[in-house]
Amino acid sequence: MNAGSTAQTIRNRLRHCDLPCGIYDPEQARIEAESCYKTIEKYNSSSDEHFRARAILVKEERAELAKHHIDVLWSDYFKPEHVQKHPEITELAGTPRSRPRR
Amino acid sequence: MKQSLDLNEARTLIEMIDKIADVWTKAGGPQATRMPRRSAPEPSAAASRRDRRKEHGAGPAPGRLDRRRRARPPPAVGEIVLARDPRARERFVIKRVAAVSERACTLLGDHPEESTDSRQFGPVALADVVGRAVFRYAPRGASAASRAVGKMATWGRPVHALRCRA
Repeated sequence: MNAGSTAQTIRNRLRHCDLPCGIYDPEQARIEAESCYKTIEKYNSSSDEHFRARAILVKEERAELAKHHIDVLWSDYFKPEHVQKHPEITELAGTPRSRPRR
Repeated sequence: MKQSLDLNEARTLIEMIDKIADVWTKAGGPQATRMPRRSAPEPSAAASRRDRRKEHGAGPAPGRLDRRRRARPPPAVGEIVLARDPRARERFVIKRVAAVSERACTLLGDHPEESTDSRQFGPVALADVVGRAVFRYAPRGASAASRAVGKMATWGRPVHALRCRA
């Protein structure tokens, strides 16, 4: 999903707590992704241009969150031993998506 | 000119997250750090409250004034109370309690010839009595009047301003 301009706004967003609290669940990302899916459905079935504008906005926002949650799993939950045992995770979660460029 | 967005990308994202979830489960999943989910609430308490609201249709949402309904002692005869108007529940009336039965009370205004009260709208359920007057601003003096029990102490001298505590 295209990060577009929302990447700018997400730059200052606080990340999942880095205490770390130890609570990591892909469900968090899934819900945001489902939200994207439904929003796109609604976008496609609507002809109200204002609604469509809002749908785009929500879709982008939820997509950023989905990416963010995946990133948190990758950077905080999965440890080197996991990567060793399940190398496919690098492909799945390891590609940086919304990581702001410094 | 209506364009459609492609759902496939979103579908791919969901599938990808599911694959991540598989690995996550294999890697130990929640690692027993998550608190156990509270078991589903008994249908009696929370659900039935929702059902009751549904049955009663588009009544006002239970607000701050309704929350402590159960714990309050019933109003005493002679007290001035704040109650939901049975004719329009989103409206409140301030009346003096003339009689209290087990589930309802009769509310009468202090100005019999002007007041619209239980003579018109009938008894008011105790559950709809949401507050009682605790302080009277005016008329000044005769401060016992608002506390007077069993008699219409301010007949002919309407109470203008009351602070009700819900």
